[in-house]
Amino acid sequence: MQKSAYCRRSSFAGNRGLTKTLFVTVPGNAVSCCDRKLIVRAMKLIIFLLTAGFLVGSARGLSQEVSLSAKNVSLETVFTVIKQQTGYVTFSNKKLLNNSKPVSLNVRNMPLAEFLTLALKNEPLQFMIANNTIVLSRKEPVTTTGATPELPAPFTLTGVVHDAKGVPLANINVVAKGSNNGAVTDDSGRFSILVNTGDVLYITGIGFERREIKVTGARNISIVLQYRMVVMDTAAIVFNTGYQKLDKERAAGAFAKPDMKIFMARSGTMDVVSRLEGLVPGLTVMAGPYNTRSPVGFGVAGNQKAVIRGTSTISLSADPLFVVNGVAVTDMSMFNPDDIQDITVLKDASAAAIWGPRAANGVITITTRSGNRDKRLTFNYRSFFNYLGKPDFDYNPVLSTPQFISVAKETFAPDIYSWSSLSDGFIAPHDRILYDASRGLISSAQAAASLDSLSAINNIQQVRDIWSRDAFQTNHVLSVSGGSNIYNFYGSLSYTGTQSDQPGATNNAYRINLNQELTPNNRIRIGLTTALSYARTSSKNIPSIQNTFLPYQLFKDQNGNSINMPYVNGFSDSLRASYEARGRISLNYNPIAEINYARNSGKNLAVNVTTNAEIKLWKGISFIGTYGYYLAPSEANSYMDNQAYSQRRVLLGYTVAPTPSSTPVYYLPTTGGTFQQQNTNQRAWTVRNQLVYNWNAKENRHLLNLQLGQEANEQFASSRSATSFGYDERLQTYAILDFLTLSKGISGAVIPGGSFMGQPFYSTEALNRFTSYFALANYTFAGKYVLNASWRVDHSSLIGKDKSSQDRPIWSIGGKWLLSDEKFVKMPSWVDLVAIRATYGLAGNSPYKAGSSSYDILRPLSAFQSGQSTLAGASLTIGIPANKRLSWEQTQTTNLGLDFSVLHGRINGSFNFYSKNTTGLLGSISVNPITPMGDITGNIGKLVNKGVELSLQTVNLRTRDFSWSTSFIFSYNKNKLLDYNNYSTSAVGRLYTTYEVNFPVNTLFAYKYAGLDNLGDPRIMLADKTITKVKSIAKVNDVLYMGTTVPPFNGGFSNVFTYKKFGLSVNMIYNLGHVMRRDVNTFYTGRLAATPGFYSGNIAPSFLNRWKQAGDETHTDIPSYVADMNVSDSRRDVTYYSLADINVVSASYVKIRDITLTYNLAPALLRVLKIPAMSFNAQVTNFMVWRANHDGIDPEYGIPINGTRLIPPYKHSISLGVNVTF
Amino acid sequence: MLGLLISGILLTSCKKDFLEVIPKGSLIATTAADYDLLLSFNGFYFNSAVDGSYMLPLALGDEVAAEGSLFGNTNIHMQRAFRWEPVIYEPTEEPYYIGTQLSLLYTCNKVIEEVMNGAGDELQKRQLLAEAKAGRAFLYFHLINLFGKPYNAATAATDPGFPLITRADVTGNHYTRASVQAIYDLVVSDLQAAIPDLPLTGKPRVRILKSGAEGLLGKVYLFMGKPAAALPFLNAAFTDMAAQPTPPRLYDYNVELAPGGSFLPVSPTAGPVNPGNKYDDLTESLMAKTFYSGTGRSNINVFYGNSALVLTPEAAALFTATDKRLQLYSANKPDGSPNPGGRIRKYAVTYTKFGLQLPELYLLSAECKARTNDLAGAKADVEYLRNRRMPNADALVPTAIAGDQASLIRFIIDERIREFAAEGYRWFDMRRLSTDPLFSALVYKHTIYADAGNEVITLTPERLVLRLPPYYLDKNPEMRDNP
Repeated sequence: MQKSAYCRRSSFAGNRGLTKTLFVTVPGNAVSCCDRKLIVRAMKLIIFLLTAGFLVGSARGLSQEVSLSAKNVSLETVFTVIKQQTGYVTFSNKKLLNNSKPVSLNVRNMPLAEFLTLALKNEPLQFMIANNTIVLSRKEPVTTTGATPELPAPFTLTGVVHDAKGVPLANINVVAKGSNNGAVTDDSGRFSILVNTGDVLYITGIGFERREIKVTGARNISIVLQYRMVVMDTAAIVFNTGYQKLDKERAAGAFAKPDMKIFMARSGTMDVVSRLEGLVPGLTVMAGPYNTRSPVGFGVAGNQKAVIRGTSTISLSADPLFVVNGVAVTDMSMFNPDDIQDITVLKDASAAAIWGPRAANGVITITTRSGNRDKRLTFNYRSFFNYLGKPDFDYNPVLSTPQFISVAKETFAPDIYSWSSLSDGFIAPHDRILYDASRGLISSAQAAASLDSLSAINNIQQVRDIWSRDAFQTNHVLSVSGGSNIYNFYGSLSYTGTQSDQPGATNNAYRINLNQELTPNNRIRIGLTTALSYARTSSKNIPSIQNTFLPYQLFKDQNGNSINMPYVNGFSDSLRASYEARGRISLNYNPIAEINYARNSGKNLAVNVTTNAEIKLWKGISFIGTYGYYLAPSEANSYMDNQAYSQRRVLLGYTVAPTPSSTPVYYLPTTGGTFQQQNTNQRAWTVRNQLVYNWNAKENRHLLNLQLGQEANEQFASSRSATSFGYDERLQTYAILDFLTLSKGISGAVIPGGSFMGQPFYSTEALNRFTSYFALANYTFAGKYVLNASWRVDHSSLIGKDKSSQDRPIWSIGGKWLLSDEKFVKMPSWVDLVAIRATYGLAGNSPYKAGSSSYDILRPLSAFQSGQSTLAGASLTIGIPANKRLSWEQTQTTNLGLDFSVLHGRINGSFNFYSKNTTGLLGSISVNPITPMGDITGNIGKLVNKGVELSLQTVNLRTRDFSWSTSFIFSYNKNKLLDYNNYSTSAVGRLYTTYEVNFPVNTLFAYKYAGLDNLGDPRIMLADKTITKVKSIAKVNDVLYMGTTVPPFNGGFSNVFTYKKFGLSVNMIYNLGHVMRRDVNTFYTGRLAATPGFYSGNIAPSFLNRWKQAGDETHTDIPSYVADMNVSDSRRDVTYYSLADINVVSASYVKIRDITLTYNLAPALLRVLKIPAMSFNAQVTNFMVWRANHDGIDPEYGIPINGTRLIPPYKHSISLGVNVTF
Repeated sequence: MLGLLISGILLTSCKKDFLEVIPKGSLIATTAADYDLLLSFNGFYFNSAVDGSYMLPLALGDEVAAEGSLFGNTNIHMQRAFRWEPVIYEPTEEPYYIGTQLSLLYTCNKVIEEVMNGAGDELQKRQLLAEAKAGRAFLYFHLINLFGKPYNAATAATDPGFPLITRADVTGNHYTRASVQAIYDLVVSDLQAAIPDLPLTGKPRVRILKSGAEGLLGKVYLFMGKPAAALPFLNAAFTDMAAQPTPPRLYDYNVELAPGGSFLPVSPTAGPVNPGNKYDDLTESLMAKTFYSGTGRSNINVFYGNSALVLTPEAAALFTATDKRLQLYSANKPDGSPNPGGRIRKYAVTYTKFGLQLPELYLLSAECKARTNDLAGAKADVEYLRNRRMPNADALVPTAIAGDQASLIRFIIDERIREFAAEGYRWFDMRRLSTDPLFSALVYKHTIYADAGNEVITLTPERLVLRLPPYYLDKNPEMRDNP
């Protein structure tokens, strides 16, 4: 089989004929190279291709005639001469040339073909000329038999059909095409059939792969049928670790793959993590807005947080590492989920340790789509429209307007909050009426009438109409793929348009993705992935106004005019009037007018180029190079006009005018606006070189794969921000400011205490570098015994690095035993496969990752950052204090696994048990408060995570037209903090901490409630059964452990039904066993609606059920309202109620995440349309099936630790999609 | 081929300096210049936070009373301090007020530990070492005067003080309270070690110069009841401050508040443009440390600072009508409405200086001289200050007082109220005078004025010492609280 190409091209200068040369195929086998120089050239080629693209060059017009005069020269010499004279390269099997005889020639200007015929006259070789290349091959012996074929005679063929293990199979159909005879196997698998030689036997049976066997003449045959794997794709399952691709059979580690069909169908979100929810055992997607990382560009509304196998780190990010095409990425949003082909989740040390410290939270590797090798181009268009609607304000109950007004009257306390003390304060319109009445400015009848008219108003419709809009998202992807067995590609263009619920905001993302693969011969494979994303966003000055604002405050009057509401930002009318008169600047505030006073816009670009090159060097040794480059420049502009309230407010803090008659002196511009441009730039590169050795012997009895590699990467991020003041957008002019004076503050300003924080320029830069060495080994013996091992060491440039502490190798070892393949193990016949796995490994986190160090890291304070620092000039301060006892966080992971497949592939599953022991847990140490240097990173304790995971796929029913299959994912994680430095020393500490030794992480503690006393003050029961309302009396042991806020049980339950061309999938997710605080009223003292600057004021309706008079304590647990804050504060602690056990409820719930209906066009229709495939789908999302709480709380839209409801951005999303291949 | 591979591998990995990246935006101190910048940190001389520095002492002093209508909106810690309540901070509350001091202590300790090993000029390093020691002394002098009993030589060795921390290490735990004596010993030895090496001049006075440290040591000795030991250092401070190109000097209010004076114009909300309204006016400072004590007009409707505080009638009566310092007071509330009863509040001090001010140096000197029976010297010192605060005719110390040691000491103490009322100084005087037989009969009271009726609170002796915030005690169970 060893074939070599003979090539003598001396260089690849220019692009002359080069690709053409490489595109040549040798009949029978792809060429392989005999010459090491070719590899050098191939390397150059890669570089060339990277720079020039896959352009096809044109051949230079050289002569096609040859002149040669030589005696007894080798053929090699002859071909060298041909190359010199004609530029034609020769490909050949080296053995062919070695066996050739020397030739003698004497010709002048002979045409090439003629010359070759002459030169090869006595050789056992024939030639072919194509595309400037001469291809040599062995001369085929000419067969000269002239016998006529015999006419076939029918005969009886007998046979037996059995499965791979020799079990005979009954009821198998055997049909002979040609003779059109048929037979069915009996119980012993036997059949007999009349056939002709040359007939083709079709052997079919339910649950088995169809086989075709050509009748040769044998009278007795034995046929093996393979079970059809009805759930899993028939293609082998391959786990991609980013470093290697490992067949499922050869992987001992805990890997998992999501059901990509469900993943692709989840058009409700563009976030990769959200789409994985409930599809991967051990991957907990934390749903809801509380667990969203800040929105990023490219049309993704925010990445959902996820943890793999429980939290094993505290201060570091618990997010898994994302790897795309072998290179770690920080921003998944630049990839369109529609371009993803394959996802592997790496869970245990054996699977993930190769990624070094970054893998401590698990790894998610993603491969984007690549081209097919059909010669035909395939186009595909996919699109969806996803409708989300408006925020679901009703989710958070608040008082109705009449209730609010009545509460306002009940809580009005002018004797405690005197009118004169509120000169700076926030006085809402209803409060104004009440104060006016109490001050005798209006009669009580007038007040009552005014309040009644307020009661009649409800602003929720205006909140909905003015401050929100229907949100939706559209996504269009047009892709094309094609190729040959030398070159293939997949390219896609996509557009994602997002209309958020914020009026005026735009978000348009465009992506181009091109994956190319070049396989010039069976030794070289080069892949090039290019992804480009571009997004433009813009937004207007929209305040966040929800139903918690004063319920009677409209924004537009009956005539549609926008309403002024200067009170919202504080200051009494008289104070505001005085400021306005002196500064001659209005302090009016009109939220609708404000919309256009400020705007933001952003441009994000991201380019990701990854090259993978694989070169077979020699005898199973090959080289793999992975080279990734990522560049993401972005620009953000913001403009705030001088008309904006905040600008006017700042200006008055820098305006000197002692009296209304004095001419104001403005220290800030009164025209134009503040314009800020921020440019950020990220770039990263990865270079990875791997040497791979593959060895197999005795027909794959021994399979060995060894890898040795080195990796270097760099991450660079910079940001520059420039701000101009008094900027005129039309003229592009700006004002010159006296920053020195401004930084010191202006004495005697109209509004005192103003601080000007404008920084004209700001710059940051960060550069991190890593080098790593790694080794991998996989050995399989007899297809039954698998051994995996990995080792890696990383060095980094992070500040404060100590060389000795960097040499911390991370390693893993694992084994797998395919039990069902053992001869001595008697498996029942319905068992197809049983394999057991065990792995152990050590992973870790470098302390420097958390930004800590064994040295004090100092941070500069520029003269501008704090005006007062100008007194001693620029300075340094302690940014991060040293932790001299810092060491690595280490996680030892043990994983035991079982894979099984039974009932002929109808049930497949895998089961994992793991134990993760983390020591030297890196965490935020609140240092001893006596040395109050903020929180530092240190080794704070020990944590153990134990868990089981089960994934089960079953085919429940399968008939000709109908099928029903189920996928069940189950994860259980139990963790416990074994040791923790930051133990709480007070009850209050426990109530707010999420970490407490001997408890799971994310603990929730509560007071033991003991009802109200006769003043309506909440009481608690202490550990010694004392009932008390005394403040701060509870000690650590006086609070109860209620549970953890992270679900210990979670997973998914998916059912897929198909009927003819229709498909229906129902994906359910469940999170069980965790707890949360209920949202309860927290307003028990002080003034109702007293905070200016925010659109707040309304409170929870449970306030109405509070204790009001003696005796109420028998039927309510809700504390009384005490107007005087000092009285309330000194007499009681209302958190005894709000943080009590009665307000902790189960957070368990089950939701149908999505229901998707798919219709694939019938073949007849497709033929009419002349397209290969087309489908439509419709999806609806987010249906609560069951929840344990009785308070209407959707745990996804709440903050479990403090019991706050978050407004869901939508109730259900509805999306419609189409997918056409043409 | 192999060569190519190897060179490919080496290309990235074997460059020795590949990992030697010097990050921007942060650094590790190695040179004297780095340590110099650390001691330039503005936290050492300015505290803009609402809960900073002398904020509690501001409320604790007996020269102030509270306006009930405003007091309810004051920050709860200030309210509790004003009521001389035992519990000021809840267990979860970090007393920012003390925390800022303690974080500076870390920097001082770091410089003391490291600077001599750093690169740079030996003289500069010695100066920085001295400055860090003086800085540490200032911090501890402040802390011990909050949480330790007033210094009493007989009991100081057993009176619990504050943890003694002389190393920059955040991993320390289980702190215990060193004795009051041990803290004073550290303060004195740090200052004595620092003074010879501190520069006379060459740095802004927000840094510690020799005269500042000398003045501080004098104050420390006086607080320890050692006026004789204090005097040489106070005198040295006067001498050494003169070495500065623009030495500290006293403003003459007679000039500055007269037409054309630099304190004019008078703002209706913040009074004259005096140093109390300008954080960067260091004219009267030997060692300038400032905190923001104004209200601001923030959105948060809670007063810190001195806005809700007025002078008690007794304190107001200490002023003669011609005392120009009265112009720093307003009879109006912050919203401009007149205060019932004509009570006055110090509206012209939004930036309180609590380091070492030249007026205080004169008064310290006067007090030490009076206590060591140099009555003439004492009179001269106090009159030097008074001459610059009021017409000279009214500035003289009445003869009857000037001739009697006890009366003169009392007069000087009263002068301290006149000069520093509503700035927090009084609390520290109340403490040290409690061990002074001359003042032992004093009963301290606080009044909250309200329309419904005034509330009077009487200070109990144990409340002359603040309790330790539970935030500290919880994490350091070995520390015992004050009664």
